[in-house]
Amino acid sequence: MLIEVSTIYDPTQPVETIGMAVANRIVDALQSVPQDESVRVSLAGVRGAGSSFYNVMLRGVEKWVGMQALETRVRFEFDLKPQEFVFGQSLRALRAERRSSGSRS
Amino acid sequence: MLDGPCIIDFNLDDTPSSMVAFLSRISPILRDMDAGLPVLTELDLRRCKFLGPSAVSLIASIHRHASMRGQAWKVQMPEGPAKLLAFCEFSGLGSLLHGTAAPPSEHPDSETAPLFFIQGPPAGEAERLVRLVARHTELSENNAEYLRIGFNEIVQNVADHGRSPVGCVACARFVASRGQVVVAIVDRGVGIPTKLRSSHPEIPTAAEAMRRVLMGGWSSKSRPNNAGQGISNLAQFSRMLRGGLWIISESAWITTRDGEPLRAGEPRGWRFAGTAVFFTLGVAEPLRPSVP
Repeated sequence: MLIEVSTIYDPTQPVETIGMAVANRIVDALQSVPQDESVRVSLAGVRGAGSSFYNVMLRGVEKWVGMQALETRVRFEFDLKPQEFVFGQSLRALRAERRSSGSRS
Repeated sequence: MLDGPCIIDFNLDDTPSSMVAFLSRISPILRDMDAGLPVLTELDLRRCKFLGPSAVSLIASIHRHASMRGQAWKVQMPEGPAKLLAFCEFSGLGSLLHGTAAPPSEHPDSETAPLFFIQGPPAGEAERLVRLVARHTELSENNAEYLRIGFNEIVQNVADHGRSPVGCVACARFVASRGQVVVAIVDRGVGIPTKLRSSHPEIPTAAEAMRRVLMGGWSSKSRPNNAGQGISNLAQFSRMLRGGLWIISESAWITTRDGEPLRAGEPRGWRFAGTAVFFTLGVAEPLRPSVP
């Protein structure tokens, strides 16, 4: 299953709103495919999304499916290097937070 | 309040040293503001021969804040050279201070993104910077995105933590000779040291709070989207794109080299209520002198 974030992303909306909208779409997708299948999330065409957006999105998914499923069943795809960099920093921060508070996955 | 004006007799060229010197020189104005005086000490820029976006944003933020509080303030504008007069016009500083007509924001020859004010989180304003650079040079998709995200990280920070009465005051300039865009974003809200140390009281000094914010992973976590990544992301962009980043907040300042904290300080004698973020990104090849 493929989720194209550019069809949801609206830069004029608050990051909490748009980040949670994407997270909910990913969680719905994960729950609708078999456990051994992954979901592709394409960030192609999304412009100007900073760390706040990725923080909300990643935490929203992790909250419902856990860190392990986030890292193994969701495949994020990017069309630009800055997106990938900011995403990576946010994912790293989330991993560090979970390590320090005890993983729930 | 001083008997005479604060005279700026040096150039305000977007360097940390010139901005720190500027804030030191205008400390009577900042003190007048904090004391709530109805009339602020005058600022005299007539001997200044160069102004960059950093100075313009700082002056505009003070002016707008003073206006909102009903404090009167007079600024004597530079008298030359012609290039500086043009910059004062095209940056929007003249129209802001003297109520004249606003400059055209997208003039094809203009190297300036005129002053703009953002209340709340970013909502596409970074496109002004992208269009500014794209008017003058070929801008890659990746570099345009570094510029958008870097700008948005700072504006989002102000919206999340700053509670700035003037929001963000921003101005930018494209310097073709260096292939760099110079961006200044200033707010008049709660500064980084106060905000971070309120949730991390173990941080010993304001300068140390600035250093930790630059390193990343330190946040007051005012909102669920906060993880302390925004400023450190921008610092890394400046490293990747042969640029720089420096920040003044309250009584502290910090500069970077290669994305890492380089120098930090807490000068005595002035305190800027708010935060000023200045960054440069090398988004295009520098112009080289042609060889005959």
